[in-house]
Amino acid sequence: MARIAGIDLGTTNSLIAVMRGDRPEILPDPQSGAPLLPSAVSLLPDGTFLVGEAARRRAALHAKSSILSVKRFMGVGVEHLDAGDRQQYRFADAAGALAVVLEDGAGGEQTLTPPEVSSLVLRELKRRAERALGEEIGRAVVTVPAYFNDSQRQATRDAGRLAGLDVLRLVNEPTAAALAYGLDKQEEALVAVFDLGGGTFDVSILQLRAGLSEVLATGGDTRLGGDDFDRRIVALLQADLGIDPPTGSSQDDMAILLDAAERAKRELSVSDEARVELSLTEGTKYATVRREAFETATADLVERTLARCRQALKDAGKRAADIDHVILVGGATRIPAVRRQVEAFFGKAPHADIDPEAVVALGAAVQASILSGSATDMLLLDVVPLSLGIETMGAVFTRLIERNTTIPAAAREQFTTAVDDQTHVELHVLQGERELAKDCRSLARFRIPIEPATAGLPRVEVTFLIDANGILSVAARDVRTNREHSIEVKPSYGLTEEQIENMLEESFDLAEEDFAQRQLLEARVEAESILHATAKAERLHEQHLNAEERAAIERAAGELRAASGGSDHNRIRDLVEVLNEASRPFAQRIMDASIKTALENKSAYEIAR
Amino acid sequence: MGSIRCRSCGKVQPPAFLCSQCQSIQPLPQDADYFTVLGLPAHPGIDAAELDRRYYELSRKLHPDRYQTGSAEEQRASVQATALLNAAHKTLREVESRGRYWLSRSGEDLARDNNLVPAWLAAYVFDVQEKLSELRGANGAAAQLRSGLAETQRELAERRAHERRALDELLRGWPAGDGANDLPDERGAVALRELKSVLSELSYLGTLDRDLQNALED
Repeated sequence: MARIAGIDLGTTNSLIAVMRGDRPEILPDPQSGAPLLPSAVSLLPDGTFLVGEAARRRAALHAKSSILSVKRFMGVGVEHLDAGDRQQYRFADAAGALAVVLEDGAGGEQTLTPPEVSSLVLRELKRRAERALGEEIGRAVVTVPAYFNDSQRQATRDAGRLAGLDVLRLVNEPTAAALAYGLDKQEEALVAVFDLGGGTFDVSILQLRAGLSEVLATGGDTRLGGDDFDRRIVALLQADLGIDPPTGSSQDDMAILLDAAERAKRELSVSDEARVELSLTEGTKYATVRREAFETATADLVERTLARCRQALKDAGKRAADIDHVILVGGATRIPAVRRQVEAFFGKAPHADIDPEAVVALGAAVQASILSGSATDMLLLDVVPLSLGIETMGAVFTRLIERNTTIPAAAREQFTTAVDDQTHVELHVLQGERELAKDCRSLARFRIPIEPATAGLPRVEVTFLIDANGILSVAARDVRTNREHSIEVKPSYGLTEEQIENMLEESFDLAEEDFAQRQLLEARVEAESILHATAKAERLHEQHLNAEERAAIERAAGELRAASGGSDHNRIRDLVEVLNEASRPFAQRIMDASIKTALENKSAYEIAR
Repeated sequence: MGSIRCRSCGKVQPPAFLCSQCQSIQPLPQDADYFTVLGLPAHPGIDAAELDRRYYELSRKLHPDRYQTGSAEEQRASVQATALLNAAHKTLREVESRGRYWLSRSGEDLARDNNLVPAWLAAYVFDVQEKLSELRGANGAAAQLRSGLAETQRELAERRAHERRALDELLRGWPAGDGANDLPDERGAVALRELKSVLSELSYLGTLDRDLQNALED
């Protein structure tokens, strides 16, 4: 039986893993060796797409051509976008499924739905795995946040289909993490999975019992993650640099600030203080962030995660002291304050032996081996994260399946008509925890044809079935005639079957169909970055540049620009080096001068430290 | 309870997830009897450990993960079987939902002829509701009322726990031989009346608890 891959399709980064022998293993990029694939996509002037690290770097210079965390938009509608989303991206006005407009920089643009963007990331992962293994990968287990609703799960499965992957199972990320730790082999244990990723937070309470893993409760926040910590650092940096108001930074500067904040966050995980250099529009600046200030500025974010933990425990009917194991997932759990607070909250040291960024993909690979039948001693029981129901008279939300019900789950309800001679019954399916239909998430509308009759006489029995992936299907039967009825599904935010068929036909071109092409594209991105940086430095620091140097730099830059138009990636890389060499003394002088300025601005006390 | 015919080998047998002869998975209707499908005696006084044991044992055999390589028909049957199994376990695991299930299985309905609210409960409900409306009217200067209500909530939780214990005892001591198809004898009729009364009390207390919770969270 062909291998089944495990995929963590993350907001910020994605990974792919397979079982090698009886152990799961991440398949890194064969070229760079990097285990993480940034979930970034960038549209190139030739109409093809760049995915991963190169796309992430390209996004800094070509924001309008790039999209960074598409997972936020999976299975949601235009009305769920906030001002920040609208500022960052351009969305198509078309009704129905959400779509992002990317500019190719050559006057053209392309409109993509979130599943299409995700499918490009999945195709890149698939290719990476196929190259590493030398065999085709056609099937996968893909992980999703535990609280993903039906639309979001559907969107994820659609992305797999568009990438040519048969998604055998969607697994909740925290559940996958517990599998990776092998905690399901415990005789009996209560486990809390604390997952603070780049853009999302979730917490799950799992009951593990002799090979069975059962999710008792899940909770989380789709808008809370490491990125929020970065933004708080940006605010600290801006304060340190005297940038006021904080919204005054240009888009270019903002990208640089965010990048520096991310580095500072990592540094603060190991040191008490992080110093960063920022090449802002008005010149190179230095700023310092102290861990104490960082912790004060992010205390409310940590508290928000703990509030969700409290709620999840309450939903599970457990107390913090009942938890036997705590698992950390996501890069942001490397932040010392997060670990400290989690440990204090649960009263025990969390597990962090497995790389928190890889643990979910590794667990997905373990679930893949369960599905392939090679691990029959294990079984995963999951729950539906949100209550599912329908809109009834008075726009009230009536629950049919309560949240945290173990899946697969079924519910059955009978409906009748309110008006004489109705030819169909229309059902509005919703998911959520609020009392009114308008406050819950609309999943779909179903039209069920019926035999016309006096109001109240028809009896339509509708069966809702949630499968092991947490995805809903609906069947209807006319009770009087005992006839099964086909149902016309109108997903509120998803893609229709027809749309998917069309997308499969006209599937987008992924850049770098072969190695050489890919290397060329990456070399071009690198050349563009250094040319941009050099030109900026020349403009800002003219005083540190002599005529001879300027001529040498201009010559190297000219040659590089010319080579970038060609197709020899080795030549481009060589010329990048030449330009680097030519500008090195210049760069050194800028640095020295900046440090001097930075030091002059500090008090004697601070230098002495 | 009727019999089913195995889709694979044709053996006629009582409803079960797996054929007793060829072990193939059977598509059972979602309204199949919970006790029968779990292989438990039809008695509401359940041994929780035994229920869990049967549930996990059957989950391992029926879950869709086990039918990934099976036919489309088997996969469908597996999803349906597991959904039914999950519903059966969830319903029987908790004493209140088990009591309700037993009541409806006995052909009774909580809403029918229900004037069983005892005087103490009615008085208690009015008392708490009065406190709640005071809290709603008090905005701001509500700290004292709030702590009073928190006390009421603790008391309510105790009452509910007490009622649940009473329900559990009632179900454990349920007159044997009183299955869904038997006409209730006199002992059975008394037990059913008592079951209805405990369940409605629990239902009132549950609603009250939810109202209190909402009021305190606002």
